[in-house]
Amino acid sequence: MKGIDEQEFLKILEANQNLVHKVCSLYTSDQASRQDLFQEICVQLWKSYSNFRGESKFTTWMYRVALNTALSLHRKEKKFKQNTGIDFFIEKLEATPYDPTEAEQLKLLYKAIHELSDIDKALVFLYLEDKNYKEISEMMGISEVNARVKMNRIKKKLKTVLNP
Amino acid sequence: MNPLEMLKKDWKTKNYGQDYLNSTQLGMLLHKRSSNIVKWLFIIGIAEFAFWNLLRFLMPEDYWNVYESLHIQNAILAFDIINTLVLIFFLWMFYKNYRAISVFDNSLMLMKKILKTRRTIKIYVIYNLSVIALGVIAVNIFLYFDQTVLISYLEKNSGKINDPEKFIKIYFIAQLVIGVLMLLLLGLFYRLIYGILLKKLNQNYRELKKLAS
Repeated sequence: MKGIDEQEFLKILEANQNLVHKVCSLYTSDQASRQDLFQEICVQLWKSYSNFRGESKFTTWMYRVALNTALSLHRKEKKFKQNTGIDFFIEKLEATPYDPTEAEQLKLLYKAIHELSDIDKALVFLYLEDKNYKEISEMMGISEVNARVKMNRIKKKLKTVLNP
Repeated sequence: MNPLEMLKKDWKTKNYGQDYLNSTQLGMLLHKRSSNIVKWLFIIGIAEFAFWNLLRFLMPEDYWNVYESLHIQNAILAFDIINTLVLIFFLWMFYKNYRAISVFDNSLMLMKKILKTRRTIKIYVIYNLSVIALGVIAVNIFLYFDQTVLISYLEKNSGKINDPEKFIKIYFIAQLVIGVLMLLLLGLFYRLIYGILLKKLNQNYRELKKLAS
């Protein structure tokens, strides 16, 4: 890509890659699919980097490209699953200070999130990343009111997972 | 603690450190081949344009003589010119739609643009199938009313026909059956290709559209 410093892009990507890993862990169920999606998001970020004019924050732009790739561009997961996505979350959970009740609840919550539809996952992801409803609605192209209503429904659903 | 706040707290501390790639490894990823839906849509679209046009060149040359005998060669020529113009229009539309796809759009807009590209190809395919079906029906109607042209063309290619009346009946029934079967097979083929490719996208689009209203 002419005129664009690849090294500069790679530095910013390297520093912010946690965000891409988070999206991949939400939308895939096995290691191979996760690597596949991670690669595709990186390619899309690089391809669209020339159009990134710094009007928004780099991370805001990353959210948009990463979510769009997971929702629209990336094909279905590979058929043969080695393990489920929830295992991946649990691996990460076990690395944090352990509180059996909290860990169990988080496990249930992550499992429930993993079973949500792609769109609901995107809403949850942006909510967990502290995006407000205005930002969520702009990013996804939906109305602010509907984003709020939908998110409230998801929250309710997630709460019932812990108190069936 | 509110379970969602607990989740938020955990989410924020989530670190995928062990999966981190350094800039050299990331750089290698950037130059790997992308296999996204838009790219596939473009490849399949171009393949379809090529296929339908190749089909026109594969038609036997002496078939033109049949048109001449039926006195429809001018109509066929005019139709060919119009068809080529329509093809150019479709190619331009397809390219325009494809270029408009931007991963930086909001999710709903991006999906809308991808599906618009797909729709252009779909209309082109329906146009082609209709043109072929109508063309075959029209030529067959002319042949039906001027069966001597058909008999002499077939005899020239396959030798003497003993019972022309019976042969003509079988010929037209076979044309009809093969035509319908071909259309059904093509329909199934497209449904399969785009069904697999766009299933997830269509689902997400429908869900998002509901939330946009």
